[in-house]
Amino acid sequence: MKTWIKSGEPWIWATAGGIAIALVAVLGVLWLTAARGLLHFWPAMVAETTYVEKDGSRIRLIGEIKEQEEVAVRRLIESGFKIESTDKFTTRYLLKLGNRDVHGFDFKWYPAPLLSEFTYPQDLITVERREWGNFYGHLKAVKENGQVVAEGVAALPELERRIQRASELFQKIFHIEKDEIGDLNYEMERLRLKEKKLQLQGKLDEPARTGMEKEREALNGKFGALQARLEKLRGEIGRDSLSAEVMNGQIVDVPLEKVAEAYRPNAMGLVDKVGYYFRKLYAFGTENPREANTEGGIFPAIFGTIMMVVLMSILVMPLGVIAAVYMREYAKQGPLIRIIRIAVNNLAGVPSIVYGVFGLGFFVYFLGGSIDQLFFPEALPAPTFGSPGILWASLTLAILTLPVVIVSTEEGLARVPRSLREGSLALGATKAETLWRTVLPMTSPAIMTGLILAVARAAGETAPLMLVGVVKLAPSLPLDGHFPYFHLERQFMHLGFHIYDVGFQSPNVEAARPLVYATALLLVLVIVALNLAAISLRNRLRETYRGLEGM
Amino acid sequence: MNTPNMNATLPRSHAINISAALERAAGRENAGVAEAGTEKVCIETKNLNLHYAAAQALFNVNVKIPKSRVTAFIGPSGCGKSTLLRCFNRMNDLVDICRIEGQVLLDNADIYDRSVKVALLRRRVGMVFQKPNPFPKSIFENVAYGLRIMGVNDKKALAETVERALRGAALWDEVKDRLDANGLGLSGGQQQRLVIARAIALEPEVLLLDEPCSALDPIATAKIEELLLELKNRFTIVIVTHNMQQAARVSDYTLFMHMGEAVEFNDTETLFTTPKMDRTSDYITGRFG
Ligand SMILES: Nc1ncnc2c1ncn2[C@@H]1O[C@H](COP(=O)(O)OP(=O)(O)OP(=O)(O)O)[C@@H](O)[C@H]1O
Ligand SMILES: [Mg+2]
Repeated sequence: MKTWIKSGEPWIWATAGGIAIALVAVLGVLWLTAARGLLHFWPAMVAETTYVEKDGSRIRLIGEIKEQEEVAVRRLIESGFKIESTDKFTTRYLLKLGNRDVHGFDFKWYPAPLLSEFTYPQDLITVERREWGNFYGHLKAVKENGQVVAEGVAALPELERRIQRASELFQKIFHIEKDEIGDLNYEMERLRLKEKKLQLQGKLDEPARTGMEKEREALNGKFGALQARLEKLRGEIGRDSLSAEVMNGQIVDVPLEKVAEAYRPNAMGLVDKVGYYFRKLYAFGTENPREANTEGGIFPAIFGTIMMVVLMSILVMPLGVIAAVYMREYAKQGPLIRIIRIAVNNLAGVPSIVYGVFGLGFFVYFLGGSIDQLFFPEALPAPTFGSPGILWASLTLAILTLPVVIVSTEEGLARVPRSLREGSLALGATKAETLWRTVLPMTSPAIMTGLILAVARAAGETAPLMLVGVVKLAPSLPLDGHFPYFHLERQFMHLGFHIYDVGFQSPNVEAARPLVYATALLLVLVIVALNLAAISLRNRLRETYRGLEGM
Repeated sequence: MNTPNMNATLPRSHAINISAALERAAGRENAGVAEAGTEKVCIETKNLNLHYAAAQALFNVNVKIPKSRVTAFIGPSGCGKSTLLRCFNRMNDLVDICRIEGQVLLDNADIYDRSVKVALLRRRVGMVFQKPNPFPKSIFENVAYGLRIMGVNDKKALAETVERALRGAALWDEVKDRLDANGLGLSGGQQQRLVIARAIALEPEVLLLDEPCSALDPIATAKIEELLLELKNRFTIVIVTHNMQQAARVSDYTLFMHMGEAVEFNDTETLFTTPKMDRTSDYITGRFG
């Protein structure tokens, strides 16, 4: 035993065990998020069954089986279910019944002994709606202006054709509402601000006023035309509807205007399902969220996260590098600089919410407020930069990650051999030239290491962002076609906050839970992608300045 | 010409190849000039004292380095050879604790004068260090470094000067096909010649070399020595060396230093054959150091 300990073998085992635990933890996280999140997009079968109510009557249930678990029979009986069973345990199922507008609820647990065998009738349809979530039922007919145009077997192809038409109309309406009217509103606002500005400067004379009045009239004319077109389209889109029998036997009409997609999941082959799966996955990454973020995609959050991290990198790099260069190269190495160094190192340990508070107080209210007073007085009292926005969020994170960049840059600077600096100086370079031409390029891999750490931290940070710019639903991206294209004052969406919002603030937590996992997985992927980009850049730089290690 | 690579492999102390030194002295164009005083002076120190914090490293050094000659500094380790050398291009300015009294004159102008621009001075006085220190850049960029600092960016002018410098450093033929390769990929001897090329690309007046061959094998050493003999027509060369055969082979004049003092300065032949001071003869016959 003693020799075994002396041999160092337990030590090896302990280290290997540590690695194994770390690996299992990482893989476990990935597996859990992937399994829960990615399965969500697979087209679920819709089951039909009957259920014995407490009064003994049987009702029909139609829905997706979301989960199942083992429960003690006694507990079920205690909570009022009439179950006659000798088993100690039984299964209960969580059914997603959909049709929230009809039944008033979406998810419900049912104990297995009270359910009949599940069947999967081929003609059941799943209708994905833009409001009220999924709808399940037996398709009966397709109607135009209330008149039946197709029934029975002919209903489904007709339905698909008409959904296609409705979707196209919907896209048109969306385009007019969002882009064209948005543009008009933007122009209007610009005009209003121009007028206010002239007024503030006391230059609003008669010709200017009439000129603007004319412009305004022209805009109003365009607006009216758009309104008319919208009216017409809205009339057209409301033409068709489908009617289907839901689980309690009622026949329900669903206007196609609200339908995003309808399909028969029980009749789908594997190829169809795979196609559907990837279409949904793609839509998840590229579309805007719907229904208080519980449906649709998360594109704005992905975009916001990446843009914020990129902005943060652009801000933190020069700041951190300059600070490190000063501390390592120019400052006299005395007690003062040592204290500053310790302070910087400790800054890395300050809780991030503290930075959020600082960002709100200093950047948003003080800096942003001052900017508004100086440059955007015409928009006041509505704030421009004086409210949370992506610039302030990026700056706050830049401050938060500054210590990491400073520390690694300093280490990199310290590693540049003295002989190289002397070589440069001996060729008549000044200290600044030596820094620019030799020292900083050689430090660049270390700077990149700092940036990688900074990105990893910043991309995952959520708490401070809630104070300085992240919102649950941003009306527009911080980058669009309106001059000046980058709207750094705008609020934005962020994956981390999206997870929190969908998972905990959502009106329909059960429906949103898979999205939480899918979003979490995406957040991890985004961070990994950002990191890989930085790492490959660093490796390229290392390649260039290889040989440094040997010196 | 003697066979330097053979000599370089001999044990250091006792094997002073006097005949080689004589041979070299005979071949010199102005052989027979015994006194440094009759030569044109390039660098002159006047009562130079140097302290590293409390420790004094140079004591009242007065030397005159003759122009267009090779001068060798010899002496035991820690005697202040590097320190003295680094005074000539003000490399000691980089050492915070270093304090200098006295004067160093380059062409009769004090280089420690307030009006002197250090960067300009270092362009006139080039330096090659003990360990080759090429930049982690391409061979071309290594040589062009000083020129770019001077503001030369014209491609043709750069290419010409780089080629001339590399030829001057006897490296051109070995690297002409891979000027874009990293300078760190060269062998030690090639790196040292690259560094010399880098220095002579600026056409300095003086070239200071601090033990340039100590990290090299005999063949590379021979190449560098050959190079120095060629370069001495164009530059004033000061070389620090521990290798007395080397000093004998390449230098016209030799300064023997001991404990921070300049003990004896004379033409190389005289210093090695008939040293005036006991300390000098003790050192060159290997009794200490
Ligand atoms: N940067 C420095 N700080 C403090 N003391 C120094 C410094 N550089 C040199 N010294 C001291 O100055 C004295 C002379 O050093 P120097 O490097 O000039 O010797 P050297 O003759 O070149 O020796 P070697 O042959 O070993 O290179 C030594 O005692 C050394 O310890
Ligand atoms: Mg030395």
